[in-house]
Amino acid sequence: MTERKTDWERWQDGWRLGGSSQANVTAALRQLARARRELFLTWMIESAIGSASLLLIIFALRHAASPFEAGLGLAVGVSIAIVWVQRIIIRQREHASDVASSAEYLVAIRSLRRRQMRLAEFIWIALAFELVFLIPWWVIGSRVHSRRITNIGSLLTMWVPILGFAALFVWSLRLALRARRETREIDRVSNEDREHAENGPSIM
Amino acid sequence: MTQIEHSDSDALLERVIREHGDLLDRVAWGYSDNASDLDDLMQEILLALWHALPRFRGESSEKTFVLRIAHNRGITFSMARRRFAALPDPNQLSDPAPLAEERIISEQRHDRLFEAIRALPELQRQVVMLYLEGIPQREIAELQGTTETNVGVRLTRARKALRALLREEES
Repeated sequence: MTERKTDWERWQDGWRLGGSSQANVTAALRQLARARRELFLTWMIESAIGSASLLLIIFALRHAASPFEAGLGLAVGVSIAIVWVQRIIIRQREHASDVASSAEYLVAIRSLRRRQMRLAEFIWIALAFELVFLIPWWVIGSRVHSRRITNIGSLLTMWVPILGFAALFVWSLRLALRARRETREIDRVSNEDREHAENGPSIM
Repeated sequence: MTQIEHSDSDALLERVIREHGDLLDRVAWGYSDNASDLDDLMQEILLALWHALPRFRGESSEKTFVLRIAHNRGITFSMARRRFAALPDPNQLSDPAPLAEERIISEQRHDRLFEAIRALPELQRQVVMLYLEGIPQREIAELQGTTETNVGVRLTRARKALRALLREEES
């Protein structure tokens, strides 16, 4: 028992031997300021992308050739809004779970990662629908307005959105892969812990 | 109103950083092995604290609350990152110069201890860091959402693993 205390006490001395308090505090305050700047920038970019996507659909709807096209465009607009709201909800739940115990936190994070995977799948479906709606709109629009694909009009209404879709696809793919990896890691940690708990008494 | 709330939480967080900055630094080092990762993790922890602190109602001590958030963020951060490098062979550590000998030896021990802690499975690592921080087993059990017996098991296993990792002789 004494030996055990000695181990922990010795390690405790090593554990507390760190940098100076003032240096750590100054670094933390600097990191906080940077983190908040980055958070604000992310929020601005996300808002800009969300708003631009919705505006693009609204603009396209004004030129819809048929009620079917208009309906499809509306569905796409709603999908974008859902993705945006889902992202905000996931972030809020992640913050809410921060104060839970480790076990509850891991369960909450696992469920959020599953939700992120579903969100990525939803984005892929929405992108496919969006292309179904926009491709005829681009083709017919180019003919009606006698535009070449290199015109400024084509650049704004076709190539910029295509780039946006490609970026969204890559982002959602990375999101899904990261979420899958983290879900596997959480399962590994939980299984490892369960095995340790089951074998526990033998090592006491 | 939002401005007032924000400036309140800013002041609160600044005070928490001043009081628990060292502790946060130690926790972050327990989940990251280089300055760049440490920076990223510290940012995540600080933002999480910034969001959570206004909701703190004193159900536990402030230190426990801060530790809970830091460890929760740390555990997911380390799971998302690569595995840590293996511990260096203690025989290959450079021989310190006589004048700075004592300081360098203690720094090397400190670094090796952190490396050994990082090599532990996540929940054992967490329990060790909390125990070294002086948190009682009952509170660790609450923090981890498990029983005191399980905390005891984790500590016993962790002690054995740390001894092996640090290549210390069982006396």
